[in-house]
Parts: sequence; structure tokens; C-alpha cells
Amino acid sequence: MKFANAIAALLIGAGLSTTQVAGAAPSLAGGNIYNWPDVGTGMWAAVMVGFGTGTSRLKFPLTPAAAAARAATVKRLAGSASCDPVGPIGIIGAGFPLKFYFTPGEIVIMSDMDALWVRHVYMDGLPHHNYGPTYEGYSVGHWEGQTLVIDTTNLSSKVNLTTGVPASATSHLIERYTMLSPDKILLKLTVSDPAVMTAPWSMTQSYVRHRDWEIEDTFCGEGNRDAPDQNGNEEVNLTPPTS
Amino acid sequence: MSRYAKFHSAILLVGALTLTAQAHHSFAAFDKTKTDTLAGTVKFFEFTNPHVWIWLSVPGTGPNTGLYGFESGGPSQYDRMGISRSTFAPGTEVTITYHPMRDGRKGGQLLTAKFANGDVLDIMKQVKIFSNGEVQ
Repeated sequence: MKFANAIAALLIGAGLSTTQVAGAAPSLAGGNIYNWPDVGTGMWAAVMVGFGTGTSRLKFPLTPAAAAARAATVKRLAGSASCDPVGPIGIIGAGFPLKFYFTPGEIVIMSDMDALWVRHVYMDGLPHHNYGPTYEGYSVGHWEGQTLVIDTTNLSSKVNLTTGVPASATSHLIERYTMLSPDKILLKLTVSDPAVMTAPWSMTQSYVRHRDWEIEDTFCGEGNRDAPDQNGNEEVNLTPPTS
Repeated sequence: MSRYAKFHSAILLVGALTLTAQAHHSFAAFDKTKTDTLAGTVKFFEFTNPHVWIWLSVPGTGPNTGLYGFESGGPSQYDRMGISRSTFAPGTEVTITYHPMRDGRKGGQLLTAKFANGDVLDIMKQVKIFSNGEVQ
């Protein structure tokens, strides 16, 4: 017991609650990871028509002010992209293959675009420290039958709802993932934000599993030639490499 | 449903199953209304994230000669198409089709690459078409 008390003292000293630690046994109140027992096998490729569209293909019903701001941004920055994390909508809109990791209390969703595009979806029903706003926002999930529902708030204004429309404190995402067959998932995404949108907006996108694909070690900043210039304007760097 | 509509639906379905497009950005810097062709030799192949770049040396002294840079998909996308760093090793002869830069600079968005042995990489469809007609 002395050892346990010493641990408790350390935790208290570190500002951590011992009651949280004691009660941290995984609760499946929020759902059941065994609904999709092998979802982690392989990768899930977005089925999209078109190429090179990113979030610019998402046509939200915008307020006049947001639409005007968007038009100005798109004109200035049309073809450029930094390597900052793009948030949940950006991950979905960019269409890179996804990798799902299911743990008892959390689902981790990684994008093949960049090793830093990682989403944490809390499934354990416990209160979590919501320190945002953050790039990926604060996501909690639960199951409705066989459908995984993810509710996201607290998105940083550093990420966009669609190209040229930053997220705000009132941005709210609902994702509903349904496994239609062992190798096909249908996503319905609903985006709402009364600060910039006149109505909620939904899209569907399906994902097809490639069982033999592995997530690769990707870092977007490795060689991005499409970053905006120092004034925030569009730039494609066409300086040839030297070797 | 008319026969044409059925046919059209089938095409769309096949397209939907095979096109798993992905994009880091909008590719708006390229003029999608134009498709140009250039033949040359690979000088550099940047097999890096977020986009692969192929630098093509086009011989001659005319206006459409010199060093061109072509942007394409991501390395992981290439890897899954069976393309590696050696595919576009410097010195490789290749004929490229591309959407040119809107601003007129020497570069564009890579569409297809045809090698001396007749194999074609179709980046938009994400397939490799061998010279005997087989598709990978």
C-alpha cells in the first residue's frame, strides 16, 4: 500500500486526479469496438469523382459576408496549400486513404496525407479535458446500432470548413459511418455553423477498403512546392532541385 | 431506363469504383482546358511529400525546350501504383502529357507518362497500361 500511496502522492503532485485513474477502466458506454472487428485491416480509400479539388468542392450555403470573404481568398490563394493540419473536413475533402485504429476507449483516424493529420475520437463516455480549439477539434463518438456517429466541436479557426471559410466557435460536425459491406463504408457528413452558413449542409462519401494497403510514413512539409508565399498569396515554386 | 442511360450508369459506377482521387490542394494553378505533350529525359525525380515532381529536360533550342517541372500525386499514391524512385530515374526517356501552368512558366500537372517500351502511366486513372494493352 505504501507504494500505491506514493503513486497517488505523485499523481496529486502532478495535478492529476487519483479518482480518474482509479475509474479509468475502459467503459464501453459509448459503444462497442467489436462492432467492426477488423476495421483496422488495410486502408479505406475515398471514392471521389474528379482530381485536385480538395475542400473547394464543398459548396456550402454561406452567408453573404462569408461568401464574399471566401471569393477573395480563393482568388488570392487558389492553388496553394500549406502543410498545416486541415482538420476533419479537410481530411475528408482531400480524399486521402484513412487508417482506423480501434481501442476500447478511443478511435484513432489517421490520414495517409500526413503523419500529423490524426484524429482522436473518444468513445468511453468519460469527460475529457477539452483544451481547444484545436486543428482536429474535440470529437466524441458513439454507436447507433452498427453506425458510428462522431460529434465534433471546438475547431480552430486555423482550419477551414471549405476553402476560404475558416471554422468558428459555432462550427459543428456530425459524421455517420455505416459499414455497407465488409469492404465498404458510407460516410454522411453534416456541417453546420450559424456564424457563416445559412443552413446545415450534408454530403455523402463512400470508402472502399484495400486490404493490402499499409499506411505510409508521410510528412507533408518534406517538399511542399505549393505553400503560399510570405504575403499569403498563391505560389508554385518552380525552382529546380540542384541534385 | 434507356439503354444509353444504363450504359452511362455503368460507366459512372466503374469510374466511381476506380477513381480514388486525392488532393493536397486545388490544382487551380494549372489550366485544365489545355493538354500539352512534351518528350524528353528525366533530369530529377522528387519522390517527396506532399507531391511527386518530375523534372523533364526537353532538348532543342525552340520555345518549348529546356527544363520543365511537373507536379503529380503523392508518393504513397505512386507506391500503390507500383511506381518507385527508380521508375523515373534520371536519364529515363519519357513522353508526358500535362495541363500547363496558367502563368506560362515551364511546368504543369502531370496527366500521363509514356515510356520507351510503350508502357503508359495514367495518373488521373491511377493505372499502369502496359504496351500489350494490359491494365494494372
